[in-house]
Amino acid sequence: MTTTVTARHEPAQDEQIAVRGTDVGRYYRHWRGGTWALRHCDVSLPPGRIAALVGANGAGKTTLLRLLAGVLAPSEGSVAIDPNRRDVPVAGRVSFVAQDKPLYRRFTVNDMLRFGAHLNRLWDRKTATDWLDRFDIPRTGQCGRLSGGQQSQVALAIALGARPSVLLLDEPLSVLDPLARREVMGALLNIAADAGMTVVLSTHVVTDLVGVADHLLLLAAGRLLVDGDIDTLLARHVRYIGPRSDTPPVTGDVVRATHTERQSTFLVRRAAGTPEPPVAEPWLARPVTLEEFVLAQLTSEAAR
Amino acid sequence: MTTPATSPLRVGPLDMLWLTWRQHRIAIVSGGVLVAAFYTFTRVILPQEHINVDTCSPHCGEMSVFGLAWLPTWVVLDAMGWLASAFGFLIAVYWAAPMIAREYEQRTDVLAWGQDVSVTAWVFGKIALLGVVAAGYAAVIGLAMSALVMPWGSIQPIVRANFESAVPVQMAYALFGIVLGVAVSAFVRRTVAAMAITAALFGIVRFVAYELRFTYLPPVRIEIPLTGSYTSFTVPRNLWQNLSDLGGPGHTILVLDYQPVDRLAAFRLIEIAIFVVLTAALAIAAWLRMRRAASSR
Repeated sequence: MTTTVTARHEPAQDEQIAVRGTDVGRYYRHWRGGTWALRHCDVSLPPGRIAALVGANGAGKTTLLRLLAGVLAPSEGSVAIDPNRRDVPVAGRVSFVAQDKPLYRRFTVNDMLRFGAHLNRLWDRKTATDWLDRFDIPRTGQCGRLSGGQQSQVALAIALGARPSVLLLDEPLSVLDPLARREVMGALLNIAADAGMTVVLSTHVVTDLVGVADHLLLLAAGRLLVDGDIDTLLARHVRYIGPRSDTPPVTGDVVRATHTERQSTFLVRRAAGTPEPPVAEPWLARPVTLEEFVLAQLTSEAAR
Repeated sequence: MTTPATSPLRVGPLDMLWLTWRQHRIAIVSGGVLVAAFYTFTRVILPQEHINVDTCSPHCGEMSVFGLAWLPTWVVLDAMGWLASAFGFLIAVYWAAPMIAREYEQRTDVLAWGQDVSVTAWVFGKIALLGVVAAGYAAVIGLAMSALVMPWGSIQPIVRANFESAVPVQMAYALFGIVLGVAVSAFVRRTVAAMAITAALFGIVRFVAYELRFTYLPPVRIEIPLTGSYTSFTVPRNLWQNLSDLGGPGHTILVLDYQPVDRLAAFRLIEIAIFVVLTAALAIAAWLRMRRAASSR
């Protein structure tokens, strides 16, 4: 298992932490036996990170988010929000928008705004109403009568209005059209940056994340395969394409090798701190995209 | 409501009051309408239509219901007693049982308890606020019932209506109903199932208390020797009586067990105490359950 954890983000002693999970695991009991939905998961995110939680269906994304949100208690390990922060007025505040974007169906959108204002110690009405206006959400209609996309926007507006230090979004883009996805992600980034919010969002559409997320959490079968800064991760991986060969042209860990009759492709991870080694013709070195990286990790894990 | 994001507020009782009103306003208003109707019927319509109050015990008196039928007074009073009992039942089943279950069922639990109010503060805030309303309504019902049965005092055929007509007794039933419904809801998490189980449990507890209430204290016993062929004696005014024969050769002694009428207040206090203890136990169970369901953080 030594090759699976790459570029782990190791915070310095005095670095502030927004989210910390230590050896987190969650066991689900069934009527006969049970299963571990998540095990031995160590996560640490500093304030201001936009972390993408990626994994196949059933990898444990929702479980991890619910554990971080405090909705679910871990079966082992522990979760801490803002364990050492002094720069926020109220530490430890989390907003969680679940996958089905729950709202009170009989509440009007205005009622949901009042709900947010009454039940939160911090409430930024302007952020919430700006969000609703931006996406043209009618305020007086009952939430139950809104479209799925509009309900998502209301749920997001309430979560943002609460000004949490950590915003957890489970598939926030799933019911939005492609245009709205881009706009939501852009607006979300701005608010998060302004407020110093840490965002963890789950998705299985990796292309949604490009240019948005700066941190990758990759889950497979209940294990955290990758936890690291996306730029660092991608910079440490190179794809080599060349003639059919059993070994790559450079030293390093082979994350994934694919072969056709006449061609071989290797995704190689360099050792930390070493420069990218030059390769001789006919080998080609190509930078790795986020999607390639995720796919390589998941397929190599699946083959294990 | 524009609050600068830098000044943390406290989420207090007024905020829970807003939420409780917003989520339960239809139940609160419709409950109020029913209670007002009950009060009006009991205090304004019924008293105009009874006869023989001064001259007659309920055994022989009659009351008219909307001028449609003349019924024996005790039948009408007993029916009103049943209606009054229905209030606590309805509160338990329709107000309290769906409270937590509906949040789980509609998956709004994450929303409800994901803000800056802890699950237990949410649950007990709602119990407290709905409890105040329910206790207020129960007091109105108790007042109406006690005024209705007053002319007849404590006479056995109307013992049910009379026993339960006191304000604090009605309040105890209502609070028990609220907490029972919430506790069942915390464990069952399905609205219809929680309502059904609450209905069954409330019915069972009230029925058992009704059956056992005059055994809360040991009865007073009188032994009546049978002398000659004809014996006459006066049965003291009572809440409950049981005449039996000691048996044995000759059958010479009759035994009368009874609960004196002046024990009514004591019995009511005991019944209130029992319901308060049950309510407290259920509240603790609900608290433990919700605390476990909540975060470990």
